[in-house]
Amino acid sequence: MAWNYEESKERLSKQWQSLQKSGINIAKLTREMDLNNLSPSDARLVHGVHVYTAIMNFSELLANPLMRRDDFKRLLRYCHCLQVELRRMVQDIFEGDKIQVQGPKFHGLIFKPYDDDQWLAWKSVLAAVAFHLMLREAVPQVFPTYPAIVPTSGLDLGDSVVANVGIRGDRELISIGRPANYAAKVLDGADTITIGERLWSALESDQQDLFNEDEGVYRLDCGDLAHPEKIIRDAGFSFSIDRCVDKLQESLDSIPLDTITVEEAKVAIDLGLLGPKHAKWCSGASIFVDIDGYTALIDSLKDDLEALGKAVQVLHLFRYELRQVTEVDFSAVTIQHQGDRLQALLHVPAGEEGRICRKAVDLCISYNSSVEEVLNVHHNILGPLHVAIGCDYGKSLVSRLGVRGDLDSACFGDAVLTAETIQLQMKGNEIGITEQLHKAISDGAIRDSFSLDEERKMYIGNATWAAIEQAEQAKAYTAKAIPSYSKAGSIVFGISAQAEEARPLKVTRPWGV
Amino acid sequence: MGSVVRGQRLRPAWYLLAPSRLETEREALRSLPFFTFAHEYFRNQLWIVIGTLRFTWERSRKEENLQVRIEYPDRFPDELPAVFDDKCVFVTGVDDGHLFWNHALCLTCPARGEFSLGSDCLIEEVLGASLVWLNKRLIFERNGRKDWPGPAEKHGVLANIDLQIERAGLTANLRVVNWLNRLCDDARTGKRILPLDPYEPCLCGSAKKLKFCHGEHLQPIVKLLADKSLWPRFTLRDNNAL
Repeated sequence: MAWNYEESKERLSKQWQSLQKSGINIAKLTREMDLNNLSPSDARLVHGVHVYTAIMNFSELLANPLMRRDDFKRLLRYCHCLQVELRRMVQDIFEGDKIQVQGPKFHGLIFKPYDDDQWLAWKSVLAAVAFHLMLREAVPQVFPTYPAIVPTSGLDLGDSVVANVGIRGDRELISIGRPANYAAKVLDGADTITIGERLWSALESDQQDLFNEDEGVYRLDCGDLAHPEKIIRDAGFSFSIDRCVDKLQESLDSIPLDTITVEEAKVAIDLGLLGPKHAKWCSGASIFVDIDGYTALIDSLKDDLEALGKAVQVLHLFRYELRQVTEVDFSAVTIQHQGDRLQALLHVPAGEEGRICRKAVDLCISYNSSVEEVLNVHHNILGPLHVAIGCDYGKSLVSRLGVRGDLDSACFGDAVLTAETIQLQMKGNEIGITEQLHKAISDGAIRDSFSLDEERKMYIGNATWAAIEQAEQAKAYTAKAIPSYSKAGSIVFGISAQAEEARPLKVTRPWGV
Repeated sequence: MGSVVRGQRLRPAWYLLAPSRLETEREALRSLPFFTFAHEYFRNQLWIVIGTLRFTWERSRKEENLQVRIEYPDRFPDELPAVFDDKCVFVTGVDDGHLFWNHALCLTCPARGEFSLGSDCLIEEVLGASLVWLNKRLIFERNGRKDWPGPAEKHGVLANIDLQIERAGLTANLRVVNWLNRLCDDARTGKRILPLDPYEPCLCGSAKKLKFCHGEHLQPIVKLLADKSLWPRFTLRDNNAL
């Protein structure tokens, strides 16, 4: 099965009709609600601080021999315990909510109080300090032999749209808007909390003095804070490192190493069967597909709730199509929707590296084709949108982390990190692949559609199936070598069209027309 | 319908002269896998068929359709049927767009004799070429109307001139090419085109007289360029300009 223009057009048309029928209601979040209960036709405009806390040295963890032992069981348990504790802290101590766990990255949202930006800003900074304290000081007490974690956090204040996307039983909470994106982009510096201009402006002056300006963002080195635990407690939060240690120990005890099973995935992974105690590993291609310009679109519309509703519907449509291409057209696995980005894994047929690499490149081209040839042509509702795609091949560990009823899919591996790095460097309508993937491509026309970027050490292309085919046919016409095949009931034009009972068209000189 | 006036003589249309051929054509059109026969009608001496050409791209499986109008000329099957972009999907007046001003597809230079005139498979050849034309035009549109896929060939009168030069084996002769360029410029600017003197030395540079050298091919070129009535019919533009 592969991507098919006609099928893509038809399913998108049906999906758009269904979305229009159900409509969308966007309202400001002004009182407490469980965001997980939002229906697909509902979304909330949430004013709050987005907090991203990431493990900066995650690639070191992946390379660590202890973590690699027993098929990464320890790494899986380590990540699980950390994410459960971060979730507990943001919900129980700082009255926020977990939006998503994105592999080694935790995304939380702090939105209370609704009408006091100064307190909200300071509270979120304290939450990030608490996360760092937990990761730096509590974790080594519970995991003394494990490699130390270097945390980093990014925060930003503003309005974002929170929606629940996906099909019934498989919904994901996503957050779209500048603060959600910006907070993830400014993540940098060991044990450093980086905040955006708007959040910094909301702080009181003595709080602002804690931060150093660095090219438009403000950074706080957590090591510079004297008695951070006391600062948090003095602000009225019931945070203590000892409590974190207890909770981490509790999580650790609940998941002994011998209860964890990690198996090789030989058939397509069913994420629903995975959990903290059950993971799969596989060699496959990790792919990130980001909708370029969508965040800017949301920001430009935030005062117009009706247009914002349309934009959320467009996101639903993109999400639906990207998922269909992944799962239906290529039998790959959708790991996660991260805001306006999709993470996918292609690992079948298991053990056939060459075929997986070729299929992965086809999948990347199919994503781009769906967007450029179908969505932008037939569903150009708020202007054209493009996707930036990054892809790499390697061994990955797939599982779901979190607490019962609220598990987040996670996929770890060097290839995942590389694919994400590549995707972040891509612009709209650009596909970035590694040399390994490029070497595996056997089709000359596809290979020629990528060019080497020597500086970034990757191959970049903006191919769609139509563009590849047209370039291929134009070249063949020039070389006076195009075969045109007909078969009963339809005509298939192509260089390699080898339909059974094919016969050449009765054209004396097809290139001479 | 029925007969047309040619001078003072009345002559029945080809389909009245050969009703069985009309049936053959209908059958041929209905049996083509890449053509959907929609309907037909008669206008003056012409039999006109409306239908859709279609094909699928091999990689993306995208289907392409083009509604065409086929006009069978009064001298069919000794003259080629003309195929038109019936819905005017493609714009005319584009250099190298291979579409005449009246939305007729520019399929061939008839003088090349590429199609099997008089044969039963003539329409299959014409529609097959139309299908290739559609494929090429879509590629042409996609590449920003820059390059027509395949070797660039001229249209109408210019194609006939190229054919004459090709047949004379003078495509690489710079003297002839320069003379031809000058002649075309004169035709474009409306200057009078004088016939060639057959007893002058041949333009190819041989010592022979034109009549005994390349006169057979070069004299028709001058005739073609001098006959302005041919231009609107044979060029891509309708403004009587070259």
